[in-house]
Amino acid sequence: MSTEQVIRISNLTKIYRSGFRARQVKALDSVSYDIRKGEVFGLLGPNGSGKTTTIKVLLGLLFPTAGTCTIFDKPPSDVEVKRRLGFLPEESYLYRFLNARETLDFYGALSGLTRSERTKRSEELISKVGLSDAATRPLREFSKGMARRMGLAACLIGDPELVILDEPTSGLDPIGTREIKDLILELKARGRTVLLSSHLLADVEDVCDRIAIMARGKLAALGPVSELLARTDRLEVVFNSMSPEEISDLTVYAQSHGHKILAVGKQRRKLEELFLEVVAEHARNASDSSNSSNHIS
Amino acid sequence: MRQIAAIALITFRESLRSRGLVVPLAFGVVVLATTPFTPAFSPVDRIRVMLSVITASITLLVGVVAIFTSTSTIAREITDNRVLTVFSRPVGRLKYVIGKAAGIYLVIASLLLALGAFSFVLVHVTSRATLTASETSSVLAGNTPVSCDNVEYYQRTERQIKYRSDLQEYERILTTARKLYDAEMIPGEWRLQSIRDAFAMSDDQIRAAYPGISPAKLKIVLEDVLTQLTGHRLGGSPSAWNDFFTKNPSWGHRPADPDENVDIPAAVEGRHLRWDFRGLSRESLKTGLAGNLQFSLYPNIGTRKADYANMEIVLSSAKGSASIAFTGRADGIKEFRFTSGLPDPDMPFSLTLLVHEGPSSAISGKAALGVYPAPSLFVLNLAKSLLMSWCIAAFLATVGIFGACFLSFPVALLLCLFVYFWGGTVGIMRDIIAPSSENPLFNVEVVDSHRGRDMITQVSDFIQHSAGWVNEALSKGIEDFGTYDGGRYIPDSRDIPLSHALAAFFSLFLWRAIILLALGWLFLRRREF
Repeated sequence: MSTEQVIRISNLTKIYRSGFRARQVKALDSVSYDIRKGEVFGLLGPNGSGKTTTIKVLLGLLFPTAGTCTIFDKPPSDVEVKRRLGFLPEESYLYRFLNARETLDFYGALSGLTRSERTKRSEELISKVGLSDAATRPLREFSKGMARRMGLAACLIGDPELVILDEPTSGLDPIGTREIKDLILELKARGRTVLLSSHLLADVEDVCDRIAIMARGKLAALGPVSELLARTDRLEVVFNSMSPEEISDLTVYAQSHGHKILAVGKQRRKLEELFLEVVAEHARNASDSSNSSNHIS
Repeated sequence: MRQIAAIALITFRESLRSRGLVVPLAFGVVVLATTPFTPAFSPVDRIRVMLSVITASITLLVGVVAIFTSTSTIAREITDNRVLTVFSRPVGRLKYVIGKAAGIYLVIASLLLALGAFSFVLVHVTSRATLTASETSSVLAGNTPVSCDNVEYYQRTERQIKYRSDLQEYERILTTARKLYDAEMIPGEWRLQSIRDAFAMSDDQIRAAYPGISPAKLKIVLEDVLTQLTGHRLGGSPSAWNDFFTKNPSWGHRPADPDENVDIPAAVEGRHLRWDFRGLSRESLKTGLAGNLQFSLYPNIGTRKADYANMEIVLSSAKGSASIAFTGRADGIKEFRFTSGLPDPDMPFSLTLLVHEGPSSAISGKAALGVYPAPSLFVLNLAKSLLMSWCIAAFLATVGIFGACFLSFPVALLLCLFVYFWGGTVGIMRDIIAPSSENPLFNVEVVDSHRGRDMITQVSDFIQHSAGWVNEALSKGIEDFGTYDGGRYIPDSRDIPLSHALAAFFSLFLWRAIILLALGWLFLRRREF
């Protein structure tokens, strides 16, 4: 991973004023961190913690009350900066009267692509997000998951160096979620920088190199995922299967050295892994029976 | 440019696909389709009423569409957050404003074209079905004059009166002589001069010249012949006939035209024949027909090439005058047609035919001078009406976009409606066609209020100023018509020449729209989403 910084945030403060009495709400309070080139950075926090505000400031959609932030060493209001970034908003805000191809053509034109580039990229992305069969259907007929995929394709139409994803997996089924996560890892492998904001901690844990946890507008924690999740007072050792006697011996050994075994049990897979395995198996069986019936006929 | 085109296209598509355009278009078609059933005094009147209703309906409808589309398109994108996906791209907010405006202008133009085409077909079909050919031509594009006067013009001088008399006498002598030849009273080889000479001869000279003929008998025959030829009874005295021929030396000779080879001067003193067509204003001709008038002149001036008349037609009203001059020659009946705009379409006007006499001063002829609707005038006026409607709607749309850049949808809508109704745009066609300082297009009254009076004043001033731009643009397009080059009429000239229309559009509308959009951009660039 490069040490070159793509995003620099320094003492960023944003105060909203609303109502007749101009009531002040501090959405961001002197937040400072940076995001390096080629890393997947997770932005975590509960509702109202300032995640979306941060992203909007980075996109130039909100103006900071105090502090600074730069993207590629330029202010977010610089149009040239936006040529190098892609943004997937929290919900799929799309033109529902367009179809998939027209949508990508529109966002491609906004990104400054030529007609031939737009056509080529559109076909690639439609295929990549699995919407080839629905390429000519108007978006108003899309399910939430399809719209999310469409939004992701629109985000990537300009082949951006920095990808900002706000809740990319919301509304997606586990398969879609897995595909999005794979796509994020693929972007990382291609040297792209990803800023990922999500409520789903497991998703963040799976793909992020570093994370920042925000609470009430302040930066509560920042660092590599592996470091933040590691507990110094506990140790996890994974064995292959053991008999009760062997486990008993192991417990005695640990006690004799002044340690305590806190839990013993079978290692659990993630539910996501189980789900994907079951669905894949089912699909494989259905395909086999279909092939055999075709063969018989 | 690519981004602007993309935003314009998507705005247009949105109107088209979200029924933003289809519903008003369908409504407009239904409204227009009812116009043939409008009560009217006559079929001709019905067409005129149709034209009025159609132009007013289209302007009203397109204006409403422009207001709602312009104020809602940006507001909707902001409220449903689609604007986030646009501004997170390399799209400046100025480009966004321009793209939105261009898209709405395109929407308005499409709606106008569709309704205009439908109106054109509707009026033509109705006129063909209900009017005679001459009525149709009169109302739409025909040759039958709306009003016509026939003029007889005849003028002679003494010189030409004598010439004409001599010519007539010579032709009578020839005719009489031909009868005498036919009666064999005169030898075939004789000519008039021979008869005169023979009568003046002595008896001996007669015997020598005409052997075998008795001089006495010959003189009796000659006296009879000369009496018939001259119309005078002078008896058989040769001296009396000699005195007659001495006094009339050119008798029996073809008279010469005193003006045969005279050069035609550039200008001679003329005399005026005047017609007043008061009341034939745009108001009486109804919208879509007036503005261009066609005159026909049928000169049949004399019979010889030397006869001519310089003619000039002068249109004049309180606001000015225009003239068309040409020379008519007497080489057959000619029809002179030309088209002209009135100096002021809304004022009663007078029409004067000036006839400058030629040198022979023997001009006789007939002129029919009429007021015609010009060919294809309906199409031109319809196009002009659509252009005007577009200018109004585009201006309202610009105000709507300007408002939507910093106001919420309902407030921006109120601003537009304020301009539309308080600005007097309901009767917009009448006002646009007849702009005047006494009847400004937009007339905003400042409401006296305890709170916010200054703001109301400022808004009112702004609206009045901006409305004045449109008024100025349109009045420029209307008043400055008709092209004459050194007194020569250029037939391509139209009610609103293209150059004037373009000048009105670019110099008077466009850059002011740019100011409004720039102001909108200044507000939008500081707006947070």
